[in-house]
Amino acid sequence: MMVEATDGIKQFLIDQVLLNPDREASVPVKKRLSYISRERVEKPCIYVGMATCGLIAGAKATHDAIANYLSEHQIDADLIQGGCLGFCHAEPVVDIQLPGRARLSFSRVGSGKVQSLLDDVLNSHIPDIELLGQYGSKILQMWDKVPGIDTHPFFSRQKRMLMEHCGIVNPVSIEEYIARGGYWAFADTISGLTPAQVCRLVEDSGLAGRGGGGFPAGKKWAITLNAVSEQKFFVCNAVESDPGSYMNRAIIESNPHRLIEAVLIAAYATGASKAYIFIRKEFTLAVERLRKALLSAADYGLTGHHIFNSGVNIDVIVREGARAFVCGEETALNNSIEGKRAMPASKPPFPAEKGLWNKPTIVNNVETLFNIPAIVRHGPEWFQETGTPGSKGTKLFTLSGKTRYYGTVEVPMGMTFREIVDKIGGGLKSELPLKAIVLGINSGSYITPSTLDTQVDFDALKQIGSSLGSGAFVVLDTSVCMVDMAKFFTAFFQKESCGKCIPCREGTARMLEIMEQSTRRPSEKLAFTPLERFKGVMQLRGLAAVIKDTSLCSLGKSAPNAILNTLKHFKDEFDSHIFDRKCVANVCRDLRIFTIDADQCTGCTACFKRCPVDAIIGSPRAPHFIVEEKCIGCGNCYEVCKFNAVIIT
Amino acid sequence: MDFQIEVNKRVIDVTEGETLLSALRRNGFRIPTLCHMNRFSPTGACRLCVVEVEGKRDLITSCSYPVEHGMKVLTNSQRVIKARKTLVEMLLSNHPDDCLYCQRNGNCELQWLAEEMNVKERKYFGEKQKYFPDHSGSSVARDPAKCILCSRCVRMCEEVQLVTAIDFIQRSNKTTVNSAFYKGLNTSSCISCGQCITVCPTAALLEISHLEKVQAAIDDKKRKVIFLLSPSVVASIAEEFGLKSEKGLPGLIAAALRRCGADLVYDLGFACDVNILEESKLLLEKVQQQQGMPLLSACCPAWVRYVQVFRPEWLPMLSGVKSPQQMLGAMIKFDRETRPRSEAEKLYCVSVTSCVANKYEATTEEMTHKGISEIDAVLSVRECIRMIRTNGIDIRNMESERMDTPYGRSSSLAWKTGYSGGKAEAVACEAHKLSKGKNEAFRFVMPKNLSARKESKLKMNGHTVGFSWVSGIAAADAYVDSIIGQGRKDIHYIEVMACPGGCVGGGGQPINRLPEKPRNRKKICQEMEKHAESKTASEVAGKQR
Repeated sequence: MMVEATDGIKQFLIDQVLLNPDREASVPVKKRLSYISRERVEKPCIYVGMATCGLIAGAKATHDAIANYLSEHQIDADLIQGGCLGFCHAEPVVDIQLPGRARLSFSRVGSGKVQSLLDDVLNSHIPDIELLGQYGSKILQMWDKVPGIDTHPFFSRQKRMLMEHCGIVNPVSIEEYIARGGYWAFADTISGLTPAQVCRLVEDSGLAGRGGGGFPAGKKWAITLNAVSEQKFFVCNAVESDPGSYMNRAIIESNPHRLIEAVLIAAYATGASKAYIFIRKEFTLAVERLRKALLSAADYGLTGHHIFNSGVNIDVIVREGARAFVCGEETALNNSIEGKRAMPASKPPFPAEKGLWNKPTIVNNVETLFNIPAIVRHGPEWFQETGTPGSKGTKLFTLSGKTRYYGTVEVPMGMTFREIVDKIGGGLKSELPLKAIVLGINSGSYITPSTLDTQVDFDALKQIGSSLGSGAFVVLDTSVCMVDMAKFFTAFFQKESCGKCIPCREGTARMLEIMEQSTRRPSEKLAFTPLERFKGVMQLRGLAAVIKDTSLCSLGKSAPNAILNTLKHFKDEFDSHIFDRKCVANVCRDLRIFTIDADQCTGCTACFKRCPVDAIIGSPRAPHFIVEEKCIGCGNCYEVCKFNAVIIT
Repeated sequence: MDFQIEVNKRVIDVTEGETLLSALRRNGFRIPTLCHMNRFSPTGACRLCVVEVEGKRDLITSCSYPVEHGMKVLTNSQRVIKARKTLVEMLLSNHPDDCLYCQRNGNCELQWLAEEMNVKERKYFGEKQKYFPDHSGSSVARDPAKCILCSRCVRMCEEVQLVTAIDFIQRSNKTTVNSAFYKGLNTSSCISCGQCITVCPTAALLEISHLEKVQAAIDDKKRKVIFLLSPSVVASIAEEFGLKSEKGLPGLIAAALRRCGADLVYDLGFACDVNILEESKLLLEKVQQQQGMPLLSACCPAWVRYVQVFRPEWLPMLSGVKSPQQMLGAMIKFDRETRPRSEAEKLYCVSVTSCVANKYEATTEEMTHKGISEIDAVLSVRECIRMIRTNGIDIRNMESERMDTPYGRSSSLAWKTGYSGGKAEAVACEAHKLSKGKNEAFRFVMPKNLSARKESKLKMNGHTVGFSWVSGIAAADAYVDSIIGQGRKDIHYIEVMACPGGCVGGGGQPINRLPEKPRNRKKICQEMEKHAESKTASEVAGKQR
């Protein structure tokens, strides 16, 4: 079972695996699959995690160093560009699997560490440093005294249903994906299930759309299936543009085949013969891998005309969209696919009745779709085992901010936010207390220390006036200013407004201006007077209510959430900015006032030289002084002072 | 009426499938809108038509929402009124406050709305952005600072005129309606029809004004200023000032123009007669030879420009007869028998039309001779009315005067050129008369079904000649395309007018969107036909010769 012609593997995978319902019963098939899937290897196999996060951390250099090492030492080994485990904190991750031994995983392997790492591991010696753990296996010999990777605190509490293959398989290899159970569900679906049965199955599983609305996915499909039209479309929404979330990109980069399989099943279930995957153009790597995967799927006869002689025709098309937050809104997305300017249209008519080119169109989010193959394969009961009574399955989050560990995490529904921060995130990096968790800009909702024990659950979040959001999970400690955060969110919404409706276009601009002018330095011309500031805050609420009430699309409707929630949860901080002109976290530049402690100042002139506006006066070796009227609050003097003589008051 | 819904605790009858807005307006509820246009797909951009519907979390836009069984609607709850007022205040927050100096002062929908919503102070102060007005085009000027992005012009340009010269550019509050790549209208595909101006609720779109130029020429004692007055303008001015459509109407307006400083006032209807005569001859010739069909009328400059830019393959089918305006300009200035060249330079021809595309047409190179243009300035009806008002002329208490000779008369056919279908009718009448050789009573039968496209057949010289007329570029393009695509041989003459309804709906006409003031320019034209002395074009044109 050494080198084999790819044609042979292809024929085997199609005939013996995909089209063979008894595939799991046959021992020889299973054994051969374990080789194709690289569960067993015959020569050393080295994986480098080369998703975007890995590449940023320097995985390319690591990969090249390993390639050099292998050719220098004339070692016959496979070097594979893998995907992302989700553990961005540990990138670049290098996995090494020796024949007959369990797979090992190492973190933060820069190109400089390659030499010593490979020297050790290829000689069966395990260095202690940077070891993440070993993968569990029943058929391979485990390493002694090496912890399993699933005992690592970052992984131990996660439940990996969507990400089961992420970072483990070669993302673009269709052989590995099929050998690990991929496309089985699709092959069984088109041969054994009617579209209505698939819809029923998904509805039974209780899968709710992960885009934010939480509408039952199966129900949505059934509506489209029952719509009468000669042409229907299925659209996968892969425009992930919420700041602070990138888990869709990560899972597409790591396992593009799973998305294609899900799209195929969904298109079959909704009666669509054309499926679009609408993805952001900036996700270059994801687009590249998706296209490669799509080519090999077409080569296997999984897409196109008359798939596996079943009479089913499904074309999958990857469409790249420009970077615009509004493209995530389904009507704007449809316009963009049609080649028009991405502007939302009023609903009704809903896309399920009149979508792309006025035909019934169903739009699903990437995360929702990633659930589909497993649900079809293992059945709805299996899916229902995970989660709470109201919310089933798992939820992906992009954990970022001030936690010790960060990356893409998958947690079962029902886990509390405290557990995610403390256990998976490893607590906060700094010693400062937690201030808030931002759950996506779209919902603009905050989890505060008082609601930290809330479960990840649609209903539980609704009860505290929040929503699950897109999947961003930004942990903030007290060094962050919430007013600054609200300003950032409002600026984001203003920048991303498509410009169509008045409340979103003009209203967010006015809110931003009020926020900015209220937090300006008192000495500046554009700054508000106390009365104007007071009026501004009053106006903010009125504007927010009207924007929420009258905006055309959900982008506009959620635009004022950031400010409203800040007013709700962080009223004190807001008031101290507006009325006392103080930023508790000392972040708002315009509200910082610097003074020099004459006792500490040695007159080194470092601050004097750095000041961009000549606001510091003083002669060498004598205490300096800051002229407040001139100071712009940039903080250069604070950073440059070695004697802690510059103080923020 | 299919079923009933409850509005403000009253029950109203509604029809299945109609929008809430149409149901409410029919039943006497006033709902303000800025982006809504009848017969256009709703965009829901302005959000001013919001109403409260029981059971809905947010306010809904009535313009796009269909009526539903059991609906309970509130159109004047405090929530709705506050939302509407705030929306207007948002629009005003960065609007240039120059109402007193604005062209549309008193005729601006935003102004009316602010008054209606009782906006009495500037509540929000928005940062005013720096915009660059676009005066590069030869007929349409844009001022993005006054634009409220209602997208009416965009939809008009795209859906009715098929040109798409302007669209949204940029995002956020930097969004503007602009020509491609901000390059200016002069390099865009704009056909200068000016329909965008007529739908603009504010003064963001205006014509390029020639008023100052004309005033300077009037003040120049060395120059002789000649005004050319077209029939549709007479109708529009009469409508604007409430004048009676009687025989002396054109003369009355001529008198007003003389008091404004015109040295001579000619009737552009005369040139229309010549145009009709020439086109009839051309048509008969083509019918006889059975080639070069269908003949497309070329009196509308916006349509000619459209064919040049978008459908160059149709150019051979365009009639070669000059448009009336340029024809008369050339006749006045370059008639060698009556006038030496040196005198032509001293003449200043001002055409008053209901069209802004004529402004573009007058500036094209083909319409000049050795550096002298045939027409020096073009005034739209709006500008002409402004000129009459500025000069303090009380047109309602004046005596009618005669137009100047030699170009001072026109036939009843000339009045027909003002509205869609009229030109085809006129050409049919004239061709019929030419083929018979004598003045025979003739009735042109109008089809009853008045859709955008109309056809009529007529027997002459042993041939059945098909006439048809169409207005609006999108309709015209589709119609001509279908005639050529289907290889239809039964249509010989197609009258195309770029503006919906013809010149009476032209881009230079007064903008008036008050519902209680319906447009009756076409009616005035038709009444004036009865007063005309001559009934055929050849009579007028022949006499002149």
